[in-house]
Amino acid sequence: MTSDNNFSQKRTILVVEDNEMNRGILCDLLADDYTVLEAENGLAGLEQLDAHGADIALIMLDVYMPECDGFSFLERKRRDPRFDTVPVIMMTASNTVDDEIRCLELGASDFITKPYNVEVMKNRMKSLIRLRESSAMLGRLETDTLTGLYSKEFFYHELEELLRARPDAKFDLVCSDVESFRVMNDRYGTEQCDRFLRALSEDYTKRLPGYLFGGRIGADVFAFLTEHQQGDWGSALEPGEFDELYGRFVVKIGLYSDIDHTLSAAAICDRATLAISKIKQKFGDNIARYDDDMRSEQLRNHQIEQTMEAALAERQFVVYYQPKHDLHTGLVGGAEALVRWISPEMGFVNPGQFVPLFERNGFITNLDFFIWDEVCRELRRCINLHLPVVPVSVNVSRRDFEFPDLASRIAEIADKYRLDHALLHIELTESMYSDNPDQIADTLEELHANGFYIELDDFGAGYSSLTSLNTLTLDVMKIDMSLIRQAAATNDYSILRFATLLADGMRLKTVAEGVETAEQVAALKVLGCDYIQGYYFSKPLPVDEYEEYLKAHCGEAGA
Amino acid sequence: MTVQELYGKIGGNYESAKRVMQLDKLIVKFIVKYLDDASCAQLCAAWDKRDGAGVFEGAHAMKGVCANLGLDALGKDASELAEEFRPGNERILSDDEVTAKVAALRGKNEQALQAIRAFAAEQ
Repeated sequence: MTSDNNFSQKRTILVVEDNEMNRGILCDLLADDYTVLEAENGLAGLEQLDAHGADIALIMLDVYMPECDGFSFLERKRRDPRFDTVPVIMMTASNTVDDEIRCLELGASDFITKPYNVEVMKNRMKSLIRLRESSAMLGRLETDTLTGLYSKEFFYHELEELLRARPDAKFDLVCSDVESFRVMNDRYGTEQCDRFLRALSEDYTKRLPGYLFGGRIGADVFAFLTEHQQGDWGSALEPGEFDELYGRFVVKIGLYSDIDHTLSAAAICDRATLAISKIKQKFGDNIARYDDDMRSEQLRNHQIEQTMEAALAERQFVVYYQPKHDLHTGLVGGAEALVRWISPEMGFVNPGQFVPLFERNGFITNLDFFIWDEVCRELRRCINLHLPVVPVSVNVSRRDFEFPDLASRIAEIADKYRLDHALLHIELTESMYSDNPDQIADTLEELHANGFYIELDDFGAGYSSLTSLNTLTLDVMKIDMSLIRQAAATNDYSILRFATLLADGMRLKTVAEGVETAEQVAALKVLGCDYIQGYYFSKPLPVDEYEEYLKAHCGEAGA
Repeated sequence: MTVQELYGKIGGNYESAKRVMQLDKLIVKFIVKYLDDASCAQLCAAWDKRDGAGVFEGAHAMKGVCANLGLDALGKDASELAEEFRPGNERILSDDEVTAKVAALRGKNEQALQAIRAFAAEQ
């Protein structure tokens, strides 16, 4: 008797046989290949199973035994999901078909008859153990161990198979996403959060009408496929009150109704999660449907992402300059560089469409470096041609600060064109400060020490924090156009007065953005604002018009 | 006495035992162990009490043991009794016929045990 080298790891088996002689023979025959546990009847066998269940690779079970026979053993084993998959080989001294059928119905895997044919028996044992282990491995790949839902890959596979098998059927996809799950994990711990996820998945699998199957497609993202539901889903999409943790977690739901059979499973899930992205961080707004607007936006974004690199290489991105007028002299004292994309395929692309997308996909840094280079090149050209020159402010994205050497990179570009650093102003928004305050503060300090000016953009838009004013090295405060418009509409300039006083107290120059009327200009002049930027003086201009504008309106002062 | 000679003496099938246990030392170990096997005694005691279920259990166990040990003749008799008393089967034999079969089995088994005891004493 030799061990099989291909089956080298010694598995544990359980032999349940009341006759000591038969049990002894079997144990002796198998001892070289297996660690053998013995039980003299079904009850003792169940106790062994309970104690060693996870380790037992196979059970050899006699049919007729006192106390608890093989049939009872199988029935009780089958009721316990812990042991349901452990294969059982029945050992019988008779060839009774009825017994065999009954055992197979109760979950037995195979039979051997006495006398044992050792080689046949050992091969059957090995096959069954291998089959179970392979199934278990496949099961692990198919199933998410936490929730019992399909794994992402298997969900995709099953979804695509179903769509192929039922081309005329209509289905809906529901995705759930737990808001701020990482924060919740840190706050409540993995165990509690896992419990919540389990409860959430169970809740939806039980409650969703027409539920077919679900998958865990992200750490806290589930996808549930259902038969198509007409009309309003009512409360079916709202998560239930299934857990004491409910109330601490916010679950966002995305619904993609009547899914397109031609799409890949990943694209189908993307549509439901895109709907979710529209309601992220929106209090009280927890359910979103994928609709035609989202589809158009998705297609547009796709087209932008497909063409952005070529567009940059082909210089489809161009810099426009919007002059800033000095309120004291009335002359141009600076300008802001603004990017425009004129695409041969898409026409004029609104920056509101591509800038947020580029910030998400990181392409914004490529674009920003391009813009800085373009601006510096233009400044050098004007200097060389003895054209009027004013400082130009350029925008930096939060993604630019991912470069630890951002300050020296900007300096390199300015130095390449032999520019006085004071001609280049760096504009950043207040909201960026919250991302990585220390690094942003350090970079700005380095830029400032290198002679660049720093402008804080959009002051007063959204949630302003005085912390950033106090912490960052700044030279200019740009007052957001929303404050200007609000003041003009209500004829109440008290907030603007406060903003200019604050800037004055901190020795910051002020630029008012979005100024459109003579009344606004007059009021801002009274308030002591330093510069005006807006359509009242000029819209953003292409470079040739900008040069002409400078010739007509330029002085020596700069913002 | 060799183990093969023992098998010849008790009407056993050495080749069958060899197929199951593969090694002579295992055959020796378990044929000697048969001296302690209670299945035949259980069968006989059950029949004395006319306990059909007990007869089946004993006969069925003995049939399995004999099959593995290659004790074909004993196994054949035990098998007949097991089928006679298998739950769900119609009885075929009369009680007198069963009594005769049980007595014959007991006698054959006793002869086998005596031979095995002699064999064991030589080991």
